Amino acid sequence: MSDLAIQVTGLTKVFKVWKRPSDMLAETLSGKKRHTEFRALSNVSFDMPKGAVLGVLGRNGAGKSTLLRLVAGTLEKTAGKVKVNGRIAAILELGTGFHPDYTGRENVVLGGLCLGLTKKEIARRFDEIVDFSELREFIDQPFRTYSSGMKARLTFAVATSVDPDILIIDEALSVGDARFSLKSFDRIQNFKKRGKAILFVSHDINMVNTFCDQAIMLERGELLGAGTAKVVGNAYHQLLFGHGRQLGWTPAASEEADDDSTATVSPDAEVVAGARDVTTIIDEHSDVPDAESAVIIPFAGAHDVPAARAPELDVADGPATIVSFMVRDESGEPVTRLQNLTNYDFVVELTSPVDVENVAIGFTIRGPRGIELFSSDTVQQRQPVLPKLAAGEHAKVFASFRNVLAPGTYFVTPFVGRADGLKHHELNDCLQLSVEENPGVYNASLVNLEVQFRFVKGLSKVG
Amino acid sequence: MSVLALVNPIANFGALWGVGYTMFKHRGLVSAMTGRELTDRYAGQVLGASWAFLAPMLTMTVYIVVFTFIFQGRLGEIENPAAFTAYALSGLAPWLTMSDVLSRSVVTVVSNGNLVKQIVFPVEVLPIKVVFACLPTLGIGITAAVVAAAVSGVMDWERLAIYLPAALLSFMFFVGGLAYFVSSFGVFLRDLKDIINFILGIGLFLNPIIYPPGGAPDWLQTSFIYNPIANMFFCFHYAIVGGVDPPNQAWIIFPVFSVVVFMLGWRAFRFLKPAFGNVL
Repeated sequence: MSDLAIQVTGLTKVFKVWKRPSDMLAETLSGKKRHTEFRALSNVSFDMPKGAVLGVLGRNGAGKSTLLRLVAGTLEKTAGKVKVNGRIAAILELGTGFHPDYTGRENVVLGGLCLGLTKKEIARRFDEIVDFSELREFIDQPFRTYSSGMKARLTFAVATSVDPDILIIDEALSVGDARFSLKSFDRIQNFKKRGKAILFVSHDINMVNTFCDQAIMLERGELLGAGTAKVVGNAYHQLLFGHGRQLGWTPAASEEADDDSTATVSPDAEVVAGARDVTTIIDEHSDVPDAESAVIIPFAGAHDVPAARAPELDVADGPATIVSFMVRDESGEPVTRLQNLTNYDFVVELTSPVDVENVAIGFTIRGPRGIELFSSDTVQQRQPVLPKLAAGEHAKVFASFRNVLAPGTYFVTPFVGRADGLKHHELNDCLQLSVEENPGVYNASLVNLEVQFRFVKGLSKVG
Repeated sequence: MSVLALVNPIANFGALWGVGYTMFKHRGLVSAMTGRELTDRYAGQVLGASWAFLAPMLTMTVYIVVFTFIFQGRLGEIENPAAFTAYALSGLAPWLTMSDVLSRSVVTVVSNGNLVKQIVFPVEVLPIKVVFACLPTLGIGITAAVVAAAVSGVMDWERLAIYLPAALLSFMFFVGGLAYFVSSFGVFLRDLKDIINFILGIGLFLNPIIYPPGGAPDWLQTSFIYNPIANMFFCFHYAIVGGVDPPNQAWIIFPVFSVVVFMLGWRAFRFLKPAFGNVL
């Protein structure tokens, strides 16, 4: 225990949901059941050593905040154990304990008091807090006049000035600008060096990758996986955008997703989810390639159809049909998170109920705002078309490419058509890819052109 | 909790320790939050925090005018408007303070829900700051009553020096316990604030606050003996105005009742506190 900051064993939280708060009192008095149950966390266990930064990933409603509140002790657990070794400070919400009508100065004092500092301690740290938040000129303005980024800065500065042994941060950093994120990052690193533990919750994979060494992933209140931030980040990405083990698009997977989404409506859905045993802990020191370890994590739950997917825009005018579509890395593993400047294959599986000739394959890649970045097919690229696809025959088409896309999110539309350009089948934005953070280009870039710089002394002309 | 657990002396005296410890450990927070409770009400107003003192002063002035010049009530055999004013004020001061504490503490946990839910925050501070924030009302009311008593000539300073501190101390325990009770139950029973308003509405007439007990019908007079709140007013009236039926039993009933309310209120709060997060 001495080197563990937080030890969570079999933590379970079942919310009893009363229609009205008074039903709770009535139930206590009469003993008659008046509630429905909602399982927000079930049997979650993890250890967190001192000096660790642990990321908690999960979609909305996955149980992240419930977990944090249980660890922070602001919520009563149903079963299991939480052992906490040290003083906790939590930033569970922006501007907690801050009053909009009070000035930044008054709020620093009040916020610090709420977090357990004494007035003397606050006076001693006041300048440091103000300097860190860079709000000196605004410190005597009312808190409500601050922008959300300024609010986040002040909140973060106050919470971290408490110098807790364990710091819990819930999404609070996501509104700060890049420079403040960097500063926060430095401060978190500094905490880490001094053996403090940080629990960091986000649904932003990049934040978790940046801040955390280890991560856990929650889905419907269950621990789906634990491991290095990178591995869990990949797995989480596939949970969000992947379609089961296939990690690509298949009609079956998207139907499954539909089935599951209807199941969520039924009241027992949470209980059913709770009964599944899907927890897999990935060895935190394993050296297996990311994609492989990512696949170890089973996905038994529903899978989100990518946000941009609009099936009504699909084209299905010809007999040839796309059966599955995915991106594979060089070792042949399906992936949805790509590295910049690395080689991959698009893999399209085709079939047709009748014989078709001269089948062309192509792709369109769109950026997050729908900008078309690349669209081409075998004909445009002056490459051979598939001369013949016999009735009932399956064919796989591999299209290799070097990923020059800059970090960000992209949607791929595969299509099959005839040599004259008419389309048999097109699946609009059916696959979402994300390209990992890469320091080689500035944030707003869409592509990485692999520029080589050369300097020739004394000449104004590059030669 | 069984009946035996209710009378468990260790748990009950633990309440005294618990509140004392909370007040000491979080003294900075208590004072800051008391200030905030006082000023929040009047935030953005021209006179600002001065209203915290101005409002009870105006209220007391109105009562003084009403009882001195309009009602000109009679206190037993003494036909002395000033003495009657002192009598009414010495009842109204604790009554208004108690009303203030009840109606504010019933919502205090709910309205500070974000503190309770989002950070590791000593919730026990909330009822304490409510009580402290109501002290200006009590102080101004009692001062007005003492002045009126001195003016009317019914003042016995020796009696005041002994009995007023005793009454005030019991009163602090009483409203502290009430604040803990009401603030914790108010989380689960949101109707409590309306129930309290109703009870306060009729309580003013069912207790010997602004009228002398002798003027009430027999059934009500009987109830005064068993009603601990009525005994509270006996204590305050006796300390400031003196003998209208010197109520000896009141000096047992009221202090004992106050301490019991205080202990059980604290314990109820601590018992219900872990469940706050579930309904906030």
